[in-house]
Amino acid sequence: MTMHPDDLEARLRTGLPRLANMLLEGPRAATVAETPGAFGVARGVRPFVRPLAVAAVTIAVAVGAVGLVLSLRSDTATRNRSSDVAGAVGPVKLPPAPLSARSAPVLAWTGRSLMVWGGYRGEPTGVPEALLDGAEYPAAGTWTPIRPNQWGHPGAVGVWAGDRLVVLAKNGGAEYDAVGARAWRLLPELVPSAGSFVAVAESGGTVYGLVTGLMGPSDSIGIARLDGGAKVWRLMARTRLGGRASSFSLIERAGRLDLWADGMRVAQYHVAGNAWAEADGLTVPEGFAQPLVTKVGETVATVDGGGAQGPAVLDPSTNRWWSLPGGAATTSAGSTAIGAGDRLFVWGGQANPGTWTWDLAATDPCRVPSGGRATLCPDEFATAAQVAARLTAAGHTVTSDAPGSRPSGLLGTEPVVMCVDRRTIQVYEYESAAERARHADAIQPDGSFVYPEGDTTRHVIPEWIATPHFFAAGRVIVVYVGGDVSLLRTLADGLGAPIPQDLRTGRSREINC
Amino acid sequence: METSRPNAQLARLEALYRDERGPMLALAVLIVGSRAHAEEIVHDAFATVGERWDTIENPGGYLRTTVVNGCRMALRRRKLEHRHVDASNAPVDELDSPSELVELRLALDALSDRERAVVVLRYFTDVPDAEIASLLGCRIGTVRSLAHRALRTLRKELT
Repeated sequence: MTMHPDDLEARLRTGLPRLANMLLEGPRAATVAETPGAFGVARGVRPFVRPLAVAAVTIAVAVGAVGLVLSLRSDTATRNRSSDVAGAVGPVKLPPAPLSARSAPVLAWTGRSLMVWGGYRGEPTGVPEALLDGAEYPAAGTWTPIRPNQWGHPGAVGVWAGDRLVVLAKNGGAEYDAVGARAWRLLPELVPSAGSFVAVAESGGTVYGLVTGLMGPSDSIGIARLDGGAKVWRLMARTRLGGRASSFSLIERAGRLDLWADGMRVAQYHVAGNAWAEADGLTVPEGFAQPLVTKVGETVATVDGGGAQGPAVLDPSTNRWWSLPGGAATTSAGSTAIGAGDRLFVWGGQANPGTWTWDLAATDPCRVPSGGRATLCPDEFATAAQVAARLTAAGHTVTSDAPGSRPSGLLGTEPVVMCVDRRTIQVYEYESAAERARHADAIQPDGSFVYPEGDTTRHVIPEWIATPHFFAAGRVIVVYVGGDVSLLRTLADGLGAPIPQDLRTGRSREINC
Repeated sequence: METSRPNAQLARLEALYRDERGPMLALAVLIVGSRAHAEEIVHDAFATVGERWDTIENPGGYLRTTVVNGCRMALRRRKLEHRHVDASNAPVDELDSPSELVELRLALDALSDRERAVVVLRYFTDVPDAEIASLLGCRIGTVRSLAHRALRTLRKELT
């Protein structure tokens, strides 16, 4: 069968941009491109590096208040991670799944493929239609339908249990044997039947369901364990922590199950001891209408089932959240997500059909202060005026009049210079959080700046008149050169900890207003 | 090192870099098939544009010409160095490489370098045949001939 010329040309017009994206995005795709046979390019070809020119020219400008550019050099030896993500900060959209648009399907990661099953069509407040079909990606590099389930419910939750997909809702559920028979079978019902499954997790090969509506206090919730041998549910310990919440997630972490209720980590169930303990109360960022939490790598991510926010990932070392670049466009009401190693998959919801994935190891984080109340970075500190407002609110006197100072232009743009209690600070504004992150990544512990450019780098070494301090948040970078402890504390409170510096200039000159 | 280049020129150069780096990378990666090499080519092209900024009337067009020439030179060099490349050995990444894209990539691999350049410039960058001829240093009839042969090969490879 011969392809019609128009079909071929249409395929090229749609396929070439996607192919370019595939070759440019993500480490795996890049690996493919480097292998023998990729358009006749062979592995190990010695790169033909030419010393830097254009980028160096753009940075060599007057630096005014903060110092003087001493030297620029091209360096092929160092190349940091940000070069890999500078042009690839957004998510990758998977090919369309062979499923109708839907809300809140069960997502599961089998270790090799993403499974999507169920969900509902219609308004959750009305009479939503439960959907029973599903699909798997990428069993053969493309979506493959899985056999429809005969059981289903709009509020179903699910988990991958080593060799099968377990889905639960109300007081029952089903499991899909994805390895052997590739068929569904019903699970036993919960006894007593008063409870409803609202979340599920797997630990050590055993499935644990979170149950609400148990007999007894109306706000008590409990764990039900699926006994693998007898296939019966056993009710375990209960707690009243989070019992009045409306959205739940159960996250397995080293033999313990973290209970997230309405976006707060409220309790922890110790599997071995069958006991609940109060958790640290960490909350997802503000503005999440229906926060769902999923495990991703060694941390967790949250997605807004209400669709108001894009997904965010927790930095476990600081307990701060960072939003995923391009995430806002991936969610709508009925969105959900699943972690897969260092990858996060997001289902876009009924009004935003599609599946997106981020390689978190290659995604430039946009870190924002949280303290349990983080805001997504594109909305936080987008302008120097917002920084000024934060400083003013903290009791500082802020004016835009900074006589005697000149902007440095060191960080890729001309900063706004402002006067804070007679100290000069510079605020660099960027068009996006990713752009800000790119410049923040360039800041080195010794106070220099390294910008990757292909396999080379440009290295800018300013001579500082005092110790520089860099604060990055949202879409701004704030630079303060000096040692005013009160100002440093305020900046850290408002913008988060400074970017680590080990530079001690031994100088103490400051540009005062 | 310091420069006396006026700030307005620097701003335009930076704007060109911001606006065109991504599209040029995509163009180059489709022709040479390697992200790392595409980055080299695009970086060198910007460097050339920066050096000759004062004498270039159309920096965007000059940039594209330089990128295409860079791709051709790179492919020519590698062809000399690696005559025994086996195009059938490219592994397929299950997650990142949908099968139709893998097929398309392998089909492009079956083209000659000039055929591939014509296909990419025509169907990805939407460059008119006359301009492709100028970019590749050949006559417009040659471009159409290359395109015809390329489409015939692709049709065979993709069906």
